[in-house]
Amino acid sequence: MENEIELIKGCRAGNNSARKQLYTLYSKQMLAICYRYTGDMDAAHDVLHDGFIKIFTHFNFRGEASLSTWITRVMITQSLDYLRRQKRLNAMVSYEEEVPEQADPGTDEDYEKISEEKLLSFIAELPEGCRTVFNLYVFESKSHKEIGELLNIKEHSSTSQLHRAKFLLIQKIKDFVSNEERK
Amino acid sequence: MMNMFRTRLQHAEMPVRDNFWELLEQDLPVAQPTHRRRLFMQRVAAAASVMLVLAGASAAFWFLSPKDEIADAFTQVAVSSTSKGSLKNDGVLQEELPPLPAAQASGPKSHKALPTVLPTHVDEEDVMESISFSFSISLSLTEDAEQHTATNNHPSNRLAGGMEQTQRTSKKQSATEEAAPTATTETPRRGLSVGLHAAASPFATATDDAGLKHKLPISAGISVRKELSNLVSLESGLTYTLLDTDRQQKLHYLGIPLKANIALSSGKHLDVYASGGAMVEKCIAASNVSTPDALQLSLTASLGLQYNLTDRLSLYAEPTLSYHFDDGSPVNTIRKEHPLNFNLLCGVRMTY
Repeated sequence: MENEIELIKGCRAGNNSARKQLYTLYSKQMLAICYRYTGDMDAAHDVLHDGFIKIFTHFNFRGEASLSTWITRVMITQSLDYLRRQKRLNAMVSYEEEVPEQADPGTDEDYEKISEEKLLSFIAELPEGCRTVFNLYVFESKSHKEIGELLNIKEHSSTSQLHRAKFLLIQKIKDFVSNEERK
Repeated sequence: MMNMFRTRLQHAEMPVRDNFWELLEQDLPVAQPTHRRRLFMQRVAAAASVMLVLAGASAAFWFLSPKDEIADAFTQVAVSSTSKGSLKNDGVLQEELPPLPAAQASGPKSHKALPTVLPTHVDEEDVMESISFSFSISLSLTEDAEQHTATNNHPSNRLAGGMEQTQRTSKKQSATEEAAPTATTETPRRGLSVGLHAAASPFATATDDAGLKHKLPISAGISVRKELSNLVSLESGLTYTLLDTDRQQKLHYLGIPLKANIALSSGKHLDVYASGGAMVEKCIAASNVSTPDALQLSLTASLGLQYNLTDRLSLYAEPTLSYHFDDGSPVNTIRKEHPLNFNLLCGVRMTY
């Protein structure tokens, strides 16, 4: 996009209005991503803040990916750094018991009833370890091997964390749907 | 189910709290172009502006300032001299000094008492031209104990290759190579820099009453500069000056300058500073005339513009005003014709 090129140039030059424009375009989306990873609105804002500072300080976007992808990557990296600092990533319990496969708890129509905000909150409520694995697997399409390398855990741990996440989410959806039906 | 999460939430948005942008804005660094080309253009622009300012200052001085009146004003300030030529009348003209207020104000810190060799008149009979080359070598050493790497961006830490024509020194007047730092040994964090310079006095050419044409004085020198504080540094050195004329008269001077510099503005690439000082010169050789015995004393005031190429190396230019006191010798030099001169000094400075 022509506009995007101008925007990139402006940000690279440290142009304040370009920066504001970029912020306006991406901040809400990025906040959702940060919230998904950190699970807490305050932390999400902090990560968003630091992420933008990183982005604007050097703006070394080289154009190898789309602008949106680049910004997302910065935010995810920032989120993971935050989680590492909180030292809760390492405290991933390894789930020895097999998580039973479950049928989908609802139909597409059921899912439609659930707002995006609600869905996000389901993810945010997950314990940190499986939440991170879930995010990386589902939204960044990373393999368990890659996740293992990224989080410094065994591939096997990544798999079990993902199963755990699915299990918990299904529970939450079930509970929500049945609550809704009661109303 | 996971697909559902992905498709529903991939582009999800959440409302950002108020004030977020404002707070973020405050933390953002001011535009720092890191792009190489931009950096290069900045440097080019800085160098160009330095040259422009110098050219402008030179032009302004040449076209706007009646030199006689400035000489009068300077004379009024510095000394009550009755040297010929400068004062057309007994009165004092209320002329504004040329725009080097900072330099004037700072003044030479080691201003010595005026010499007693001021003549009441000058012998005009042996009018001969002379060009003095002052070769000044000033070494300024700036050591930074704070930084173990000797990177120091203070304006004084540069190789100064300028002509310090009018510098007063308390040291011996012999033209030795030794140009020790004049400051007392300061705390080790102060830096030392060495400079090499060359200079000319573009407007110091004149034909005196006897038809002797004084050519452009040229000089070169080494300087040593020692930082006393973040703002102030002392500089000394050795300066060679050639005063040439069109009639075989040639005078070679060697002088030891002493200057104090005050930093006016220090930036990553451009430093601006003001200096004031004095110099003692001795004519060491003369052709076609007898070597004047007396010492030549002068005062200087200048503005320094320094372009920092690297942490250690920089180029600088010092447009300078100098006033030479009559040395009482029978030889007529441009300094007798024109005691007040404008010199342009350019040099290279290296920091240690």
